[in-house]
Amino acid sequence: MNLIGRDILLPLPAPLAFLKVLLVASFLIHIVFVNIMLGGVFFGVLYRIVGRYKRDIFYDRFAREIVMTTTVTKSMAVVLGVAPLLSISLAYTKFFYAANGITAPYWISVPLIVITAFLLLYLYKFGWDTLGKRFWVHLSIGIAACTILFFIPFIFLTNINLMLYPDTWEKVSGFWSAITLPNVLPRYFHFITATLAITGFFSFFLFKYRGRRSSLSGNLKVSVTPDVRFYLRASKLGILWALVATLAQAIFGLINFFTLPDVAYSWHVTLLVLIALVIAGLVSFFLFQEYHSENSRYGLPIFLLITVLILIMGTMRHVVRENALGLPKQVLAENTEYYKTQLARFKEELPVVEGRPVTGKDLFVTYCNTCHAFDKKAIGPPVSYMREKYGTDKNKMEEFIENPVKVNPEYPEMPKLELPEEDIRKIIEYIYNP
Amino acid sequence: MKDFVKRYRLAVFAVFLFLWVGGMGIAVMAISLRKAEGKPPIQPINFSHRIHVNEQEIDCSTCHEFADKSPVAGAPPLETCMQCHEGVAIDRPQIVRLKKYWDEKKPIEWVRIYSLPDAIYFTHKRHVKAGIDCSVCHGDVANTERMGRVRKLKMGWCVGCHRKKGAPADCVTCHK
Repeated sequence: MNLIGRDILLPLPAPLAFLKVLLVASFLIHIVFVNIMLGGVFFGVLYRIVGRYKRDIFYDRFAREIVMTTTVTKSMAVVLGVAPLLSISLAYTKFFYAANGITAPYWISVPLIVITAFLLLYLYKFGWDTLGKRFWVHLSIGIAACTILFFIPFIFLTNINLMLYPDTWEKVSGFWSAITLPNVLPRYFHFITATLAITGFFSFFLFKYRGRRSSLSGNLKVSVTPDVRFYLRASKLGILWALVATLAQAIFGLINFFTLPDVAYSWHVTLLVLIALVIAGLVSFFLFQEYHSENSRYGLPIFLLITVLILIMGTMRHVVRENALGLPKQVLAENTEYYKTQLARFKEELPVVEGRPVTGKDLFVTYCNTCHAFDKKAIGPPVSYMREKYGTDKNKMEEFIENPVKVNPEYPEMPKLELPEEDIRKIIEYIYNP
Repeated sequence: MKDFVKRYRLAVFAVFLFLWVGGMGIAVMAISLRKAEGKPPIQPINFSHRIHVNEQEIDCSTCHEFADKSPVAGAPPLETCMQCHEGVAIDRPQIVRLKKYWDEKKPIEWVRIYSLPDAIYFTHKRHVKAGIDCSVCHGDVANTERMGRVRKLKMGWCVGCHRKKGAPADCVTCHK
């Protein structure tokens, strides 16, 4: 807790509660797109291989259609990631930046790694037909993109986990040692399983929708076209992934819950986990029925249930964060309060030194002396010349200083100084009586 | 058989799901109990063992003065705190709170972390005299900000250590 320090004494641009709601809500939307993108790339690579070895054109088309969506979902993920990133920086400034500092080289390299992965992803997507003949080249590009993309959440996750436990900051010596904190790896696998489940749901809805469109546009007399058959099978494959991953998620979720540090626990977490478990059970039930039914009927309940499930998981994340940061936030507040009282006392006790009044000489040196000397020509005419020119008419001189114009071809035009009248008078007094 | 499976497929899956969710639910409850026990309670004053033991290098027995003399180690009275905090760090928010207790002549009601059932006779004295380090039972106190229960104090754990150290392990040692 030594390293927490004090808070930054700056007002937040919005109420804290608003920032937290924004953080939870915007993060959920962001992470769903991250899931779909990651899972899409994974399916796109996996089924490219499966397609080749099973010699089944279905898998190749499945991989291709999924990969085509990934560049869109990746853009959504990136754009929608801005709001949660900014919200967390504002709502948990000290904790977030401290963690960023500890994992700095990896954290800073995120954009670079992301750009590399995205370029590879573009190459994989748009090279599908042109590079497709060189199967291994094309596949290696896909695998490289996929590997990098799966590594990136690891950096985010390590950071966000490290942020929650300030008493580990002294022991942790960088990114790789931050990974060894108890909750990091289980959380990562929990995330990966969620990615597979959500991409399963996404494939199901995507291919169901495309199947319906293709059956509407096609010849009604021929009700089962190859397209319709493909989309039916593809949506079933999506359901299967969603079902298996949802069931497996219970185990990974449990491991994650088990390794959660005790400080981050409260009974709210238990309640949310139990609700999530029941909803996951219901989702699995509907998925099972959908998988075996001839015509799709359970799309809406599945969609609604997973929406609720995602909201619960996001809320749980927030509860865990608030629990873990309970004491650290108190320490932060006290340090800040202490700093404020010390600062106030310092200001009170600081002996007040009255400033010397500004003289005409000070002003002359500051504003005039750069161009005007006393007896010799510089950029402007010397002071002796001014005295001669204006004689006793100090008002005329004042008028000139307030609104200078070009008079003498020898010298450049004097700039307007924007000085208050009082100061100009002081300067004139000094010019006449140095 | 195949027809049976096909016919009752949904029912079989529903039963599987029920067991699955139920089993996970039980596991969740079990983990929750463990975590609730291990979670450090919120104390009336945020006393930091880390600052006192690690940074200031104050010996445990300075405050827990009965550890080597009696069954209980004892929580220090306010006087002990004020011996130093009459003058040390008096402008810190937590010490301001401490001073308020002192001025109002009210004891601090610390939340007890370790306790044993009445049927158990346990004494700190014997264990301290035997040279068992405090951290064996109380964890890494020197690096802990807010104390929680790090040991469950189950019988098997006591007996295991007694056997290993050659201490008496018959029933009446602890059950008197």
